[in-house]
Amino acid sequence: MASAIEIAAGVREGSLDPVAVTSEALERLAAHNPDIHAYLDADQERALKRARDVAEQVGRGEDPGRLAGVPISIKDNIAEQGATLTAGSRILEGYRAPYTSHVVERLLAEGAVPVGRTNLDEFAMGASTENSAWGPTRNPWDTTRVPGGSSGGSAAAVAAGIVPVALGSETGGSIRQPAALCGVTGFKPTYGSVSRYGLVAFGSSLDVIGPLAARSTDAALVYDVISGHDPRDSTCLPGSRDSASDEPARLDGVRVGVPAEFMDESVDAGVRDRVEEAIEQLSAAGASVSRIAAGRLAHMHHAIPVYYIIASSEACSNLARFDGIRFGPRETGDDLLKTYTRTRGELFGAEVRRRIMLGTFALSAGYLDAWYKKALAVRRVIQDELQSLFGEFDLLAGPTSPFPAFAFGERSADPYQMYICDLLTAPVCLAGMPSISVPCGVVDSGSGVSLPVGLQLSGRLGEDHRVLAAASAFEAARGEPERSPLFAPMPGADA
Amino acid sequence: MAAPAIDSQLVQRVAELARLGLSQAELSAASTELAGILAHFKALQAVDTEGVEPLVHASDTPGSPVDDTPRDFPDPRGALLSLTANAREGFFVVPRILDALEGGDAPTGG
Repeated sequence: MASAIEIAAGVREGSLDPVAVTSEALERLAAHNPDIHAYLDADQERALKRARDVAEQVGRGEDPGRLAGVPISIKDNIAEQGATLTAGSRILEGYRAPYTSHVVERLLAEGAVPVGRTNLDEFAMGASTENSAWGPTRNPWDTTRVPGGSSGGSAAAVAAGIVPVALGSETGGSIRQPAALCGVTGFKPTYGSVSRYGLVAFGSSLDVIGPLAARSTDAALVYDVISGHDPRDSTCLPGSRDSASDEPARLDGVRVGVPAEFMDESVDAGVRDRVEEAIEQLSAAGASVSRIAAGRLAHMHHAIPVYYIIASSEACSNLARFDGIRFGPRETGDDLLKTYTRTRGELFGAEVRRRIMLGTFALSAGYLDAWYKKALAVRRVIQDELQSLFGEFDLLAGPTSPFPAFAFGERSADPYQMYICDLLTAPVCLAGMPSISVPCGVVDSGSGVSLPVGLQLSGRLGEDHRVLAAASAFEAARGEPERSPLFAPMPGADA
Repeated sequence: MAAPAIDSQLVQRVAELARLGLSQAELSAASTELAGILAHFKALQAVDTEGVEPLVHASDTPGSPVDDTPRDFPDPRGALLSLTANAREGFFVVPRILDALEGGDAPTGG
């Protein structure tokens, strides 16, 4: 099948027509979206015009860039001027972005063709896409199951073979977990390595934009394009980034640690089995694998409360701007205050309201020290424990999700059951490290359907290129991963 | 510290602070949910964090501020007012925030 790298190469050398590539992606989108609802909007004319512009550039002898003609889908919380930006919420119904995010500017500058706006849990709060105000996305492996979330639309779009790459965003696991549940690669960069300019803010000390892709090498290419300093995001790290595409894909001599806390009984047996096999494959490919005894990550199980208190506190502040005055629809009340409260009470969904309540509580007088400040202190303890391991190991390995894709409704009745989906992804979000989920096999759903499992590899702060290179090496050693029944070769396929 | 009692008065206060208009039934449900979530989270209170510096950002030196200088934004008034259905004559329209002046004159200026 053609990867983003292959499409860009074909378009740049003139052997592949970007308009044909985009048309094919749009046809697949139209064919699969009624079943999986990965997209909230797809402006065909806009995408085709963009593809024609790329074709004209090639015709003029210009180089459109490293992503020439590559169709890329964008999560509907990342701004693209003139396109929808609902963030999965009724409170942004009809809103169109007045400016373009840094990441989309970068994609366009390298010749990419944005195709469609992908579904998400409202304001990226959720792990199943069931919290989208516009209805859930369904998993291409089994449409009775969730795709994970919050970047569930992006993961499903890639898993269904509609696009080779999509952008997602992550605060506590929202790129890696849906990638794992849909059998694709999902990469969360180091906090601050990619600009958040133009991302609808959720938890500002945690939010990161990153790629989901059918191949890790494509994720590396997109990371190279979107990362780098941007003065418009004051938390964006200065200086240049090491290229992930140029980093040799190797595992030889790489020290991999497997913390006992990642592989305990909270993880499904089938998931553990696949990850154990993947760890053997890492070893066979030359990695030096060590088991890390229980206790080194003694506070990891506090990551869920720490994450939910911090992210919700930041969210209640970030979402204060949605008051019905300056954008989106309005529920008018008798006075200004009632207009605010009616708009917010009626147009935010249940999970968003729940987190605003939790965050407001944790920041309120009398509870600030006991909850918010306590969470910040334990965040430091968790970071220290992870940093200590990265003194001895280059990568930490384990499962991405404790369980494979679950059925609709299975975890939505009790908020805490949904929160524990982030058990294995939230710790590195709190600590800021780069982390990737790569497909490592399938388990049987119990009714004869195969469901994918993700191997998670996390690295040191700023070593994004090494994490991506290790994932590419693992993928090369393991061979073509299992694909969803909807996945089919992209145009330009060699085989 | 034990988990706090999440009573209806506290939940009502939090909803007011959060500017969320919730019905009595929604407030009651929020009370149960918040209590349930905090019960799961209460083990956090037992962690010894004496002397631990709070970690606000993953990086202790998160980036750098930019100079506070204006940058071009083409037609800001037109672009921003087009985002709402509640604009008129170049301004956002909001419900009255001051009582009408005696004699029925509308407040001017501001």
